[in-house]
Amino acid sequence: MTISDEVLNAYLDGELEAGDMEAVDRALATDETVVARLAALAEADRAYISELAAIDARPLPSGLDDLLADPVPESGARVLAFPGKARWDRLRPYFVPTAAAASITAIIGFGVGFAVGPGSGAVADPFTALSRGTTPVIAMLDERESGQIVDIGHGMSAQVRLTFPAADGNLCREFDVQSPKAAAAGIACRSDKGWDIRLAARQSAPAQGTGYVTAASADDPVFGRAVEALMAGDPLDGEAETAAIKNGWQKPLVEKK
Amino acid sequence: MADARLRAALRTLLGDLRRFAYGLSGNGADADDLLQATVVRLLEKGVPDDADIRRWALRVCRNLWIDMIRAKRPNVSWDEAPEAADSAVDGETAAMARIELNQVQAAIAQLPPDQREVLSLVAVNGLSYREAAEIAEVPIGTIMSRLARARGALAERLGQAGEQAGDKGQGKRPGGKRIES
Repeated sequence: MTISDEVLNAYLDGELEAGDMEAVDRALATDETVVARLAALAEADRAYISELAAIDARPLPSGLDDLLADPVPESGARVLAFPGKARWDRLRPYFVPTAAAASITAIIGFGVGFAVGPGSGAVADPFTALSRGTTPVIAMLDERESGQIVDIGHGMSAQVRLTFPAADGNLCREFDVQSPKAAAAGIACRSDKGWDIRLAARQSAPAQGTGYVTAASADDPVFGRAVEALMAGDPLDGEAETAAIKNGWQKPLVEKK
Repeated sequence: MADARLRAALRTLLGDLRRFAYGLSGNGADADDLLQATVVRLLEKGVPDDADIRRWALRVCRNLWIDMIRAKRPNVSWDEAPEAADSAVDGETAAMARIELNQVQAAIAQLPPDQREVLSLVAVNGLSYREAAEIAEVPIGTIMSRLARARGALAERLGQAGEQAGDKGQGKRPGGKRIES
């Protein structure tokens, strides 16, 4: 008798009814071609399984450990938030292990950045607001000078820390967002389409007591290194920054003293 | 599901999920991107209390992969395989292991993605046909025919490769250098 591959597969996978299982058993007892075919299919399976297991030898991305570790502080409901769906494939996230920087629970970098658009919904979490580039955050990046504290709603405040040129000549801004419960810091860089969020770091939960969490800054070793990697020149002074705002961030400016 | 429980469950599922991602994407870097995105999505959106977390996670991974393909990610290839475990004792064994690995990869690379998906779900992740059908969103009959085509094609190509390797066996040189097939 001939037995189809589908039946032999179902036999391999334990998906046959008892009666059919016995029929295959009988065929296997008497027909060498059935035996050979079943062996070939099982061998194909084995090869496939062991090939996929080859990825086990590759070290896990370090960020996964951080994502899946139980948080040291109690909060941690959302370890990381990625911006809008369907764009994730453009992102090349990397996660810096926390060992070096106790204050940062997660930091993600976006290789090419992602253009942030309007319409990001109401968000009460600093990291989410920052990484998504909510409308008030973008407005701040567009209009505010460094050091101005801006109320961005939902109990959060934000400020730009400094503005600096990137290697491609465009300007970037380091900024942070804080709430009484959490804080986040990030870098946004200007492109011709608008602001791209290039880096977003979440702060750990606040120490007990009230008061704001201190946002990451260039003083923080991990965040500082990430900033340095993006910086291609000295930060702009107040005058140059004001000019860039007036200029609508349209072109990289060369300030003549 | 509470976050701590979800994270604990995901930790135990990670290897499974990662192999599935590798089966879909075909190279280690994309598999890990996909894995990471899957974990982020699961932590972000959570898993319904009544859902089987393993199947739910596989489905999320699969859907993210489809989004990724639709977003026209460059080429998906099996060219960049993850590092093979460095377990070979001598150079010749290592070289032979690499040859075999390359043949398996080449055979897998020729499978259409929907067949790789189903083969992964059933053979690697150990799902029943019904469970695989739910995740792949196709009837059980389609699962069976994709499995049959996938295993059949692999069996054929590996069989051919085995014969060729047997023919060439005598000329194989020792020495651990990578031999490109």
